[in-house]
Amino acid sequence: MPVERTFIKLGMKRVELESFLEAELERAGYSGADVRRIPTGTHVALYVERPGMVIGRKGKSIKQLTDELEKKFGLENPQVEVVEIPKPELSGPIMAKRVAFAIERGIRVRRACRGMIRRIMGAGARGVEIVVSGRIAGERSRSERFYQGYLSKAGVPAEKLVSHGYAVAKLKPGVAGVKVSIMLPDVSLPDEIKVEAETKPAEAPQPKPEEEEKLAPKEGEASGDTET
Amino acid sequence: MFFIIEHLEPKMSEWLYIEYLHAARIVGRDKLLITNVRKKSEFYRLSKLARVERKRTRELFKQSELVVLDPRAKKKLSPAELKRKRAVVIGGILGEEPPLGRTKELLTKSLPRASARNIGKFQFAIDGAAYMAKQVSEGKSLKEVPVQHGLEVHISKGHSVLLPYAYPIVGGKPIISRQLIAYLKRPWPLGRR
Repeated sequence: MPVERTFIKLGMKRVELESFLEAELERAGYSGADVRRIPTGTHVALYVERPGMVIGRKGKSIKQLTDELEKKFGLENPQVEVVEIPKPELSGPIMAKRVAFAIERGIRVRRACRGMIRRIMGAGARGVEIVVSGRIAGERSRSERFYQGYLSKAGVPAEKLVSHGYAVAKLKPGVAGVKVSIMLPDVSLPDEIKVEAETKPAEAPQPKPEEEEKLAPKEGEASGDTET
Repeated sequence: MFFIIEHLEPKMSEWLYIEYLHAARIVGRDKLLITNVRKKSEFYRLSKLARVERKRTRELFKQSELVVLDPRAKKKLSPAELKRKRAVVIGGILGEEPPLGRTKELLTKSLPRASARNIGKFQFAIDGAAYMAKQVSEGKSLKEVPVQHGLEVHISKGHSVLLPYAYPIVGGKPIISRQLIAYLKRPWPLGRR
């Protein structure tokens, strides 16, 4: 099999796994997963809002999930770890789902998005953007964009320092897509250069006048430098 | 040369009315004909803008005299062709993004002997399509009319609306109705959700 096909197959498998986890852990507030191969098998870290719902009573749900991951996706000895997100307001996927849910319930788009932006910025985000696209009020299809703060849109910072989320709101005139991008707090951008204050090199301690006298050659004493 | 808008939306929304109004201003009230207006209330409202007909275009004109503007048509609209025709038909549809091809289904298929032509690869608003058709009818080719795809309308601080349609540019600015911008800025429940 050519190398390209192997990578495509791996990519497809990753997407399938991602969509499976998203559907399975929707109620637990699924935010993302990190799958790594370790010497003893595969380590799967699940980032969720409510870990209790993933683990289940006496670990029943997590055992079931581990079995499914092994059988459906052929993961070798999966070791599932459930990680609680400390601030769900800074997770793009969770916030996108919340906005979609609010719109589905009939809350006005503008109100839902503004409220969500306030909460995200209140949690300490550097910047946020919410885009709702579709037939929002049953008229011409359009995109409503709400934004605040600073957000990287291109390059490595946009990939590494921004949390992206996408969700779908099912409305009567059709579906509306919700995209949320959050610039995480306390991230250092590549163009932010810190210049430290110049420090003077430590000076050698000055000998005291008494010591100077002791050190100075006494009169009449021969010294290597003087001519005799 | 007539400009016909075949009303194909089930409901007459405020947005649609504003686009019809702007199209009437662009091509001239006496040259615009809005067909397929069945509801009485809509008929009276639209009759203030242009000539209105309850019948469909196919019942009013010979199909061979018509050019239908359809984004899915294979050939481009040319000034030479418009000289031989009596009217241009524009679909009275509020589009989707990505386009669903409703013009082909609802309009082009109902006029099989009319010539279907496109005015570029992007989807235009109704008033924008009317402007393009008018320019071509006056002898300009499609290449001579600059077009911008996508328009961001600033609503308030931290809020904007992106319109994913093509807009002809005149004097460096895209052609869009001022009333539509005011409508987009209007808060709910007066204007929209």
